[in-house]
Amino acid sequence: MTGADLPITLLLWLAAAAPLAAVFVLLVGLRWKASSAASVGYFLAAFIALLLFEASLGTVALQSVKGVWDALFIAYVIAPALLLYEISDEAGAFGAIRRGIEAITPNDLLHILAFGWVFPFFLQSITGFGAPIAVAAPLLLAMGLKPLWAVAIPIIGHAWGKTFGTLGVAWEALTQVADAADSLLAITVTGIMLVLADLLAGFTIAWLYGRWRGVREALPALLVVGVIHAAGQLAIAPIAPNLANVIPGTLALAAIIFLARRVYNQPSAVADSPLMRQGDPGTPVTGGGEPGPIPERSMPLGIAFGPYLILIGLILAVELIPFLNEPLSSVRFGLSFPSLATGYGIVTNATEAYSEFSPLTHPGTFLLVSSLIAFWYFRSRGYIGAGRVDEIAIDTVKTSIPTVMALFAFLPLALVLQGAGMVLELARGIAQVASGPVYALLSPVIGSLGGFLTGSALSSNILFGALQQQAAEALGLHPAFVLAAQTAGASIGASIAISTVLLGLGAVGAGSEQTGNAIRKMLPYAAVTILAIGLIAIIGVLVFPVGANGTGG
Amino acid sequence: MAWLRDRAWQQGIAILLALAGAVLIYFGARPAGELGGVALTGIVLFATGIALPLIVELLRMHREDTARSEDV
Repeated sequence: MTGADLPITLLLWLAAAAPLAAVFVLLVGLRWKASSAASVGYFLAAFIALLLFEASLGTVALQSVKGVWDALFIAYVIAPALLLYEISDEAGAFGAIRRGIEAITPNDLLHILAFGWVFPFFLQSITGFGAPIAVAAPLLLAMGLKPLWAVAIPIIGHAWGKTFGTLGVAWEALTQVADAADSLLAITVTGIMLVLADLLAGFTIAWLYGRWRGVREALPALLVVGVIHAAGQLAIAPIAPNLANVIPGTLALAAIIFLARRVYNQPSAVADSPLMRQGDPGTPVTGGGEPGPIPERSMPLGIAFGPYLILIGLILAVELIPFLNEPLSSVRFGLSFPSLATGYGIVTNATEAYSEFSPLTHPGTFLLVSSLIAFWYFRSRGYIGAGRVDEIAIDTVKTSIPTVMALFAFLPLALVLQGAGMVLELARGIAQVASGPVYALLSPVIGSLGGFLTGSALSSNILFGALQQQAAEALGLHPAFVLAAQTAGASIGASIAISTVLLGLGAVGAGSEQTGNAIRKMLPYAAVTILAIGLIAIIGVLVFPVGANGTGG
Repeated sequence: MAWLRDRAWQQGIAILLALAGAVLIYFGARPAGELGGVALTGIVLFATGIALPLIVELLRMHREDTARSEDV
């Protein structure tokens, strides 16, 4: 994507921003259903691409097909995640999980920190593609959280893990497309920015639970886990970026179990937390607001948690054992696409295998296998009645459909924006008008825009890494700080992406019409974190001016 | 055909239309990125699929508005 002929004008910039602004206003402001808002955004994007960005109908159409292809594989996580939720709900497993965890520690605040912060970050360190949310959100629902908070909390909790998560692929991509001039400085600054995002996440979750009283009560956990996360990532990232999250994530899990037994062995002092459902918290509430079935047989914690243990075991085994991972991940396929170009010279290169799908290592397959094993076991032990099978299947399909429909409109919208050069227009426009320090402040906004659109920090880094480096050099800023802000911003943006939120809503059986409400709950954290990242970038570029040789002086 | 009044199944039809459209666009336009009859049919189907939930929603809002004004 070169786009040397792409004019940067206020009209084109506003036109490029219009589809996203429309989706945002309809979704968050007017609370439209996600599929309707995305539909308006898609047609607006296609119209503007054809009319103002000199994209051909073929470019718009084939970019839309790429979006559908991407949507299919997010849908392949959503539907099995929802199936696992429906099976566990039907069997009464969520009530059993709640009772079992309460027997270990009755402290709701620690439950939320464990399942909403520490656990999803650990899962993100190994896997990705929404699996941390698909697993953590239903468990938080089981622990008594309101459905929207059960989605929002793990999204906030795992956001900082997206750069060095999934074994560090987003960082690797950034180093391939851009040169930070000083890679040790860049990785250290990235670590500092992400650690700040982590601490803000832990603080935010505790504050949401019980305001300052919640923060005071959470302080030992925030300190212990925060130190493990921070020290682990900062120490390991420069040596082995692919392990920078796995090791602290594992240690933090062990620490939270220790804290549960030794420090948080009493109920929380916070009464009536706004995050928790009132009444019987052991009975999950579906998105439709109807109470789930009341389990008639008691189920041991190990069995209730079994489907999720199988899922975690599959993820760990396939991702971390090379002799399993290598043959399984070799089965992959993608679609070939021709080179596409707009009249402004925005070229999307031809590809032989676009967005390759690896069915045997995809989280959707792990979720499906876990669901089928769970169904077989619960059914054979009588936790699920014979007449309930059709109902589980129909509920799963009917709840998945609106979410998948929204993805079918939103991802083609994102791909049309990319293919027509509208995303590039937005980023270049910011780079052109911002002076040095202001650009440093806005650099995480560009990263988060890419993450929000694509749902992936990796994709945002590929999309904007080179642009951020060029802009930094043109403005006389040290690229290490701008690139660190790019990937840290991308991590936050990708976490609150509409596709991620839809996935979370699907996993707790909530409707896609709640998308705007869920995003609204996460926006304050995202805005404050992106601002904090921008401020670190400003301080960095002022303290480390670029030397005469183009590197840090 | 009562099931057709269910919003979820309506959207299911919209997904199938969009998917069918995407398949036709892909096989019609993939070789060189140029559009023939197959790809154009695909574009119509895809656009219909994406527009369907919006149209249904706008009709519902219109019906509600009409009912509200008649009440007044």
